[in-house]
Amino acid sequence: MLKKVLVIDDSEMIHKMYRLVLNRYNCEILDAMDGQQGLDLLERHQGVQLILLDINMPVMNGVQFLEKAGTLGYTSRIPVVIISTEGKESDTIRGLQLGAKGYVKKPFNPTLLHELIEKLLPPGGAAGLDQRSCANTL
Amino acid sequence: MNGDCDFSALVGDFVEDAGGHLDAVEGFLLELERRAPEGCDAELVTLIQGHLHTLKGNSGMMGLAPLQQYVHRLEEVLKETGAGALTLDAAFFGALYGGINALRGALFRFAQSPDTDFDFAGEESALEALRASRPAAPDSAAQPAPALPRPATAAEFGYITQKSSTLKVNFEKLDELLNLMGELVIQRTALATLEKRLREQVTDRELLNAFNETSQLIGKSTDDLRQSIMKVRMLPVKTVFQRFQRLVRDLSLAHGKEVRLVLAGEDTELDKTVLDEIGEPLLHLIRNAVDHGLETPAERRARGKERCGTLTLGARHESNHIVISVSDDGGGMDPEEIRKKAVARGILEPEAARGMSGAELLQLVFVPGFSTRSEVTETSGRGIGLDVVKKIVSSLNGIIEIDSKPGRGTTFTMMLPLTLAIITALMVEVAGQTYAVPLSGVLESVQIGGEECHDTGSGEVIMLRDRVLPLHRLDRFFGRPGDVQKEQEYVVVVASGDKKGGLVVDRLVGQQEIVIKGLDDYLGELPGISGGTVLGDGTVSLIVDIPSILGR
Repeated sequence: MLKKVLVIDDSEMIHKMYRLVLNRYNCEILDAMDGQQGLDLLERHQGVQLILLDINMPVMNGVQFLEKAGTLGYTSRIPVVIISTEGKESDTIRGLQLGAKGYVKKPFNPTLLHELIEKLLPPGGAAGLDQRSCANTL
Repeated sequence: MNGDCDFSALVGDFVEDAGGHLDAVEGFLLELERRAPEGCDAELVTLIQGHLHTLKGNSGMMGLAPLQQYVHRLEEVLKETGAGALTLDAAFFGALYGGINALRGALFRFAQSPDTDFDFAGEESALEALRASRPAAPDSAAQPAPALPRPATAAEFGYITQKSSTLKVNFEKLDELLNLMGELVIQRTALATLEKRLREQVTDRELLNAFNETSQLIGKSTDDLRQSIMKVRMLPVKTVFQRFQRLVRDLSLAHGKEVRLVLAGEDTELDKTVLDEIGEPLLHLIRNAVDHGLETPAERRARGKERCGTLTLGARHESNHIVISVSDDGGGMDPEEIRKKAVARGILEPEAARGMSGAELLQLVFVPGFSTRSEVTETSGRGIGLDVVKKIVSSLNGIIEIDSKPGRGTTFTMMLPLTLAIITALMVEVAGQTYAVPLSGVLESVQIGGEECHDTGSGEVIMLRDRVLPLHRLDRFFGRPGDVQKEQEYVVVVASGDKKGGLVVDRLVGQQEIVIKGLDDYLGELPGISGGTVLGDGTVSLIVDIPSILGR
């Protein structure tokens, strides 16, 4: 079901971890180190089905990314899940207001992320995208 | 807590990554400290927080809750500087540097055994004390909201883009590459041998010339390839030099001195094998300079010098080796004082001492048991002397020199080979086998008559220019006794540190560049052998370990 994911996070370590976490889907993973790189990758690649987004990043942070991605029409097509270390909750709320479909707090339990992904991208097709899912309570 | 995902495969990556974040934090802290007199630099604080934040997140993902919590505490403390509630004083930096050290230690232990428990109780209470001692402790309710960090510009994160243009490769892979390169060099030699035979049997001139031309081209490409591979293994010496900023800061604080560390030629590139080894000798030389060489601000003022001393770490290429220098503008060494100390310590006979020049006297600092100060201090004492430094440098096939002017300062200069992977060796034959003696340890080779060998009971010696030289028969050493006493013997005079000896061999073959190949671990420690190499005809030759032979 999941074929192409964009991961936006400024830590190389986290990218390596996502590879393990997403291993079960056998999907293509695009790595971006900041929001700007994320936008560049979206422009170049078709068929991204899910965006996993960190908030605290250099160059262009997660909130700025969501603002830009919103005006470019990406967020209405591709579900975004904010995955961020606890920090400013106002940023997370702002992110959800800007169209993020879910929020997971780092460190997260991979099982929880799997559940969330399956909810956002049910095996049958891309239904239920409007449902806002929070794996962790804010 | 990681569900069905096993992150244990990432332990190595995590530790390396975390180390990088700590290095960055430390670098920014040093900068913050330097600028502290002009106030708290919010940009630097933001940069530090960014690294800590990432480290915190990664630690959490690895399931290392105590690490995550402690990094979080550090982050909290930094937040309070933003609000101006914490003063950037010595206690503040002390606590943070202490924290970084503790994290490094914890990561190191974690890398060794991933079951390690983390304990940051001591460091946490240091942070707590810091917060308790702030001027007017405002309650969280009254605390002003921390200023929003300004999003950093792309230029400030230049180091990230720089990273993406480089490639991290496991060093073992590069070693493998050099090994294969060695094979190629050998095969190319075989080709030359083949050509010689062809010349004897083939009469077709044109064919021979074409063969020769191709062979030459392969030779040239092989040389170019080798140089490229050597270049890939090079790293700027900066990576080692930078580590000393912190050390110099700590040492000068501990000794009540003011020292500015200046780096020169830090972009000079060194082979990783050399880079890995220079840290220790540099550590000793720098400790020595701050501790003994540079004066206190008061002493300096009295001598009409600038209050703050300068310590210069330099690196440069010079013909076929690397020159690394440690230079201070401190008190320098007085040859007269060295003379007195050497006599007082029984290192020199008074008569011998009288006839020595200033430069010769300076060399005495490398003699074991010599220290120009009578009292032993915490950092330079404890038996770490310049003799140890010299020993390390010699073991790297390098030499160390000293130059010192009383009142003006001291300079230590180390000359090291470009790489430790390739050496020039004197090939010798012993009992039908070819051995390689590293040329850096060879002083000369002499031919002696059998009757010149004297048995002293504890071993054979010869007289070489009025000095007694102990002999080591390599055939006996390696358990391959050859013919008994010959009329003529070849002796290779070798040295390691201050020890000299003569290696008795059957024949001198010649000089050759060899690629060192390590011996497999299952062979254990082999006395007298430091490695192996493959010769042009495919036979294996063992490399003689001079120190271990002379040590017997």
